[in-house]
Amino acid sequence: MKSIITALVWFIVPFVCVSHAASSDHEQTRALERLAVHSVWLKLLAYESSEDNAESTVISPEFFLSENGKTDPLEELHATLTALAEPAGENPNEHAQCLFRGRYIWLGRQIDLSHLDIVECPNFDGWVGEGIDSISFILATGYLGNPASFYGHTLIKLNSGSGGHSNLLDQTINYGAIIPDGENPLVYIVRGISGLYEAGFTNKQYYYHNHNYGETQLRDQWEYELDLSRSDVELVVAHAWELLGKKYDYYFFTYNCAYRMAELFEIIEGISFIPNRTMMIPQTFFQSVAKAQYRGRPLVKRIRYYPSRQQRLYQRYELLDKNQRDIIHDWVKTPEEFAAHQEYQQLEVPQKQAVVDTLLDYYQYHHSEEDDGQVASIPNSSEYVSVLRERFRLPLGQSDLSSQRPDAPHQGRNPALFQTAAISTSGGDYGLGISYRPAYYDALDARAGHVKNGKLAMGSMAFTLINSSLKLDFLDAIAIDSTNGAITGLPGDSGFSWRLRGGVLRQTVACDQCLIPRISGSMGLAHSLSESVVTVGYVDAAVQDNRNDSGYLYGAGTLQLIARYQKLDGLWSSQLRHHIDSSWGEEWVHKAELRYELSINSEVRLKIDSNRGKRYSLSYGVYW
Amino acid sequence: MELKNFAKAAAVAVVMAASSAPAFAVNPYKDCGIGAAIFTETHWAAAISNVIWDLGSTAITSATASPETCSGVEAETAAFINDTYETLVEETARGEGSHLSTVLSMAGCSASEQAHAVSLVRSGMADVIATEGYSTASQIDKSSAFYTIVEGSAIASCSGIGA
Repeated sequence: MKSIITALVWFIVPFVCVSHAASSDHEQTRALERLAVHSVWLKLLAYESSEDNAESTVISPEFFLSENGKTDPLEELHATLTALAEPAGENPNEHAQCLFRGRYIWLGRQIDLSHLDIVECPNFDGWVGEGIDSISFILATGYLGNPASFYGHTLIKLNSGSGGHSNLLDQTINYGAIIPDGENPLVYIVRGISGLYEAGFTNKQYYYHNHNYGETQLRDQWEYELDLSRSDVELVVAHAWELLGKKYDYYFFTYNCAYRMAELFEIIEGISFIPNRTMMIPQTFFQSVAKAQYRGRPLVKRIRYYPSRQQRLYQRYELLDKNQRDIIHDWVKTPEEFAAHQEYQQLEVPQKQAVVDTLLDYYQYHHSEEDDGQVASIPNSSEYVSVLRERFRLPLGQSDLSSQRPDAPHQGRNPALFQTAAISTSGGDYGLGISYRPAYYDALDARAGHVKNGKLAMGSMAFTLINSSLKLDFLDAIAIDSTNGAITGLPGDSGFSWRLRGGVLRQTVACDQCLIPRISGSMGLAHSLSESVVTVGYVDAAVQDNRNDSGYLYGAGTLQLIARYQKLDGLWSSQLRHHIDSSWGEEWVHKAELRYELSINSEVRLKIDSNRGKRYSLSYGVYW
Repeated sequence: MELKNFAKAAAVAVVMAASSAPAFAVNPYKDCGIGAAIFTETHWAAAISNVIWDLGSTAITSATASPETCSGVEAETAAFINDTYETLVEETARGEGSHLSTVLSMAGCSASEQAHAVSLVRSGMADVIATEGYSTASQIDKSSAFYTIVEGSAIASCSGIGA
């Protein structure tokens, strides 16, 4: 076998462009050896590095044409050149020129393959259609309804501008773990973090994702269109094609969708936007993309925003006057024939269109909230159908959406927060505090790409140094607040909110020897007093270690207020706890926190905690 | 009874489909057994098609079907309508939108031909929506009615039928 390969290499090598002189056997061999360690060749094979012991991260055997291709790039190069030169069989789609399209194109740019018979590839040609003009990254913003989507999701859209249709039919490249049906969310959190799932690339037309994210999961989408040359677009598309269906090991925090998407583009020489971080968060990836330069110009040439159904509802509602809003609330409360609704009938046509379009968005949003996640189910309520019939009776025309759009994800701050604080206690002690949050946001610093008024943190920790004693304040495995501000106040836009926290923490602010594990959960309702003020009421329950006779269980009620004014954000929270199996009985826990944004990546916070003592802290925080 | 009314109205609404030349070679909803074979996908890729290991959402997709004619533009159009029906109908009511434009493009209507086609689709769907049994009709039936109306509208309005 080796001799056959060698013979073919000698057949091909005389055409190597890099060797202009009369090539000796030795020089030809050296030329191939250099090609085999070329950074792009290694990336085409999905090698993690160029070190001697490196190997490909693809675990599908069919991705390799040689026996040791997973660990030996030179052997894989020989095998690839051999396969590319073979005659086409009965099914040309199975030929190496079709299956390994990226390798074929790149090798053809490095060495002269013009003597090879060109194999027609119907499957590939059909996939790219009339041609791919450009490539976009799509970010579906974070979604607290599913642990897997907390940090958002990244995919690629292949833009075919000449098809005579909108971008909805464009192909997308998606990467994700392969999850068994009905997998328990807690199980797949553990398995996803531990690398116990396989993953791979798939492709679907964009409309499917657009509908799933925007209509069902109510997630905004951002599109970053890249300004790549045609030859680089061709290479990335071809490389994506050869990776479709190939499997990898999946790691939620590192080798995830954003990482693999970034990796696809690393075959373009000079491009690298895999951040040097322990976690690969989609938003961080988009910050890298937005900063990237390509041939002396910005890599990103256009950014588009696709608001979810929920956002469209809020945008339309925002533009309504009080009379229109009253009509909507009245109609939802007691649906009736529009013809019989006097106030509605007195509206001008554009005002009617705005009312009816808002109602359509409302019923679709309400339906999505109740839906079980099936993409294509249709709301059949008589109310929705009545509104739809009225829309058909009105003249053609689109009602306005608010022109305001949120900040793009790349405009947000960095994900990790490091804080140092000066601390004093009601007991007269003074000290220092240090805290670190690897990612992502809380109610006071939730910004672009985050869930407004929400909280998402994993692995957060805080220490205090008081009287020369360093103590752990808390270590959160997970802390989530999902707060729905209920902008419209309509039924269904009810402001259902929840939160979950698990980790270890000190029982009270002033206690000693009191670190305990605790898991707490809350459900409640939020209400927006204005665009910048939200109140939330929670019912809470917690399970904890019975240390210092605190008991294992407590129930609680919490009132919380979140407000913001320009660069100032504030949170106040009061909780009344009832310790169920303890002599601690009832106790109040209060918290007040003010945050001022110094710059996009720095802040100061003033915080007061009250729980069997008081603690005051003034902190300076840096995001990185 | 209500479903019969819906089906009848859907058929009557397609007054523009009088031409003998169909816009599409087949109606996937009828000829390809939609809801059975055409929109199923068992490959593991379906499990990760949505988002990063998201739950659920194994929606109807444009998989291949038998006979072979069912895997072409007809099946793609049928899948598109089925997947995005609610948005399509609302855009039809407004008379504009990217989904509506896309489905008419799939039916062979150029940009300059779409205004007339939209008015026909809107007229046809207004009749369908108005029927008594619309609320209780299945999604496949609704999508099929929309498909038929688009087909008829394309025949009446557009030159590049079935492109």
